[in-house]
Amino acid sequence: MNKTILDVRGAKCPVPIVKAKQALDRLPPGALLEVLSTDAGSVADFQGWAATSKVAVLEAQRTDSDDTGRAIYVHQLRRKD
Amino acid sequence: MTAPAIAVGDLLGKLDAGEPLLVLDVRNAQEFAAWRIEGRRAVETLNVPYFTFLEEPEPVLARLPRNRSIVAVCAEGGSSAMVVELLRDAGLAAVNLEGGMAAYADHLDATRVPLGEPAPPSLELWQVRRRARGCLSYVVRAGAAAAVVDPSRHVAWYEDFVARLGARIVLVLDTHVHADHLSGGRALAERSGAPYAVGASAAAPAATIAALGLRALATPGHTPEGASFVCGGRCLLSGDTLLVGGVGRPDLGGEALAWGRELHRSLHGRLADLDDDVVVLPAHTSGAGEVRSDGIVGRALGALRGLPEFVLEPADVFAHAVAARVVAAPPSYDRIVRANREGTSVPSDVAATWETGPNHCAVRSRPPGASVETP
Repeated sequence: MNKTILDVRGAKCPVPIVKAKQALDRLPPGALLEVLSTDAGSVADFQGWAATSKVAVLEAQRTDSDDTGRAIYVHQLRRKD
Repeated sequence: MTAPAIAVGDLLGKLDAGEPLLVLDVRNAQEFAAWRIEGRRAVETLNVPYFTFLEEPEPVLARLPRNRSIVAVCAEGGSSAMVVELLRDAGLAAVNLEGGMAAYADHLDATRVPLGEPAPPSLELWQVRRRARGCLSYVVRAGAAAAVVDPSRHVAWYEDFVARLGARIVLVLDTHVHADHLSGGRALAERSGAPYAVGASAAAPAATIAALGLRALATPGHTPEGASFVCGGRCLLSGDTLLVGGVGRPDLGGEALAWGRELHRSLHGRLADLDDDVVVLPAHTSGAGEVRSDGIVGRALGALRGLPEFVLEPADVFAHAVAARVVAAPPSYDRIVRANREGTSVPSDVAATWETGPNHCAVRSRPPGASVETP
C-alpha cells in the first residue's frame, strides 16, 4: 500500500505533530503516513498523542541515521477509520 | 503572531511572592513526571500535553481557571507558545514561559548572606542558587576583589554578577570534584586570569584566599580532595561534606567505608574548633523545602551536630551506617567526574543531557521536601 512521507527534519515541537495531524486530516481512512523527525522528544510525544487521538494510530517507531550520523526518528502512523 | 511571554526569573519571583497563578505544563506525562518547576511555596501545576489541544481542546479549556493568570511551559517554549495563542483566543489570560524548561534549568539567582561580627563590613557573601538542579555556588567580595566558589558552567552569569558588584574575579575555587554537574571553575578562572584550585590543593594561593576573608579546611570524605572554606569567621562553605539535611555521601569512589571513616574524621576533627553558630552553606540542596524564609539554604553547625548520623560513634559505626543509606548515584556521574577532573570542555547541549535528574549528594536525615526553617 502507498504511504505518504512527511519530512519535518530540523523542526522542533510542536511542528512534527501539528504537521502530522494536518497530513492525516487530508488522507483517507486506513492510509499510511511516515513522519521523519530529528527531534528526540517526538518519540514520546507521538506515543502520547496516538494514545488519545481520533485520527492517528501509531503502528511503529524506529531510529535511523542520516549520512552525517544524525539520528532520524521515524514514526509510522495510520489514519483512523 | 507571537505569544506574550514571561522570563523565567520573573515567573520565579511571582511564584516565590505567592502570586496566584497556574503553571500549565504542556510536556508529555513522562517528562513532567521527571522534573517540574519548583517554588519556595507549593506551585499550582497542571499537566496537559500540547497535543491534547490539537483535536479536542474544549474539555480542557473548560477546566482552566479564568480568575488567575496561566503560564504555559514546555521543553523549549515552542509548543507552549502554540497553546498560549489557543488559550488567548478562548479568552484566557495566558502567557508563555520564554525558553521553557531549558531556560529554567540554566537559571541562577543570588541572595546575600548576612555575615555580621566578626566579619569586616567590607566583606560580602552571596549564595547563588541554580534552582532546577539544587546546585549552590558562592561569590565572596572583599572590596574590589571577588572569589567564586563552586561555579556552575554558566560562566558569563558570574562575570556579569561580579562586574555589577563593581569587583574583579581574582580567585576561583571548587570545594571538590563535583559528580552531579559540570563545573565552570576552570573556564571562569581562565577567562578572568585568576588562579583556580580544586579542594585542599597545595596549589591553592594561600595569600589570596586569606585576603578574601577565607580560611581553607581539608575535609575529605565525600571525596578525598574535598575542602571547606570558613568565610568571615561566620559561615562555612562546606561543599558536599555537610549539607543542611545530612552528611555528604561517601560512596562515589567505590570505597564507601574508607571514605566514610575520612568523613567522620572531617566532621569531628577538622570542624571541631568551629562554633555552633557558624552557618553551614553547602554546595547542594535537595529541594525548595530546604530554602529558609529569607531565601538562603543554610543551617547552624550546632543544629547539624545533633543529626542522628552525626553523633554515630565510633568512626566504623558511622561509616557503615552512612554507606548503607546511600541512594542511586547521579546519572552520568562518571562522565561528569572525568570531565571536571580533566577540564574537558563539554558543549552546553551535551552538558544539559548529562545534568538531568536530582543531584542526590547527601545522605539525608529527613525526606527531601521537608521544611527546614531552623537557621
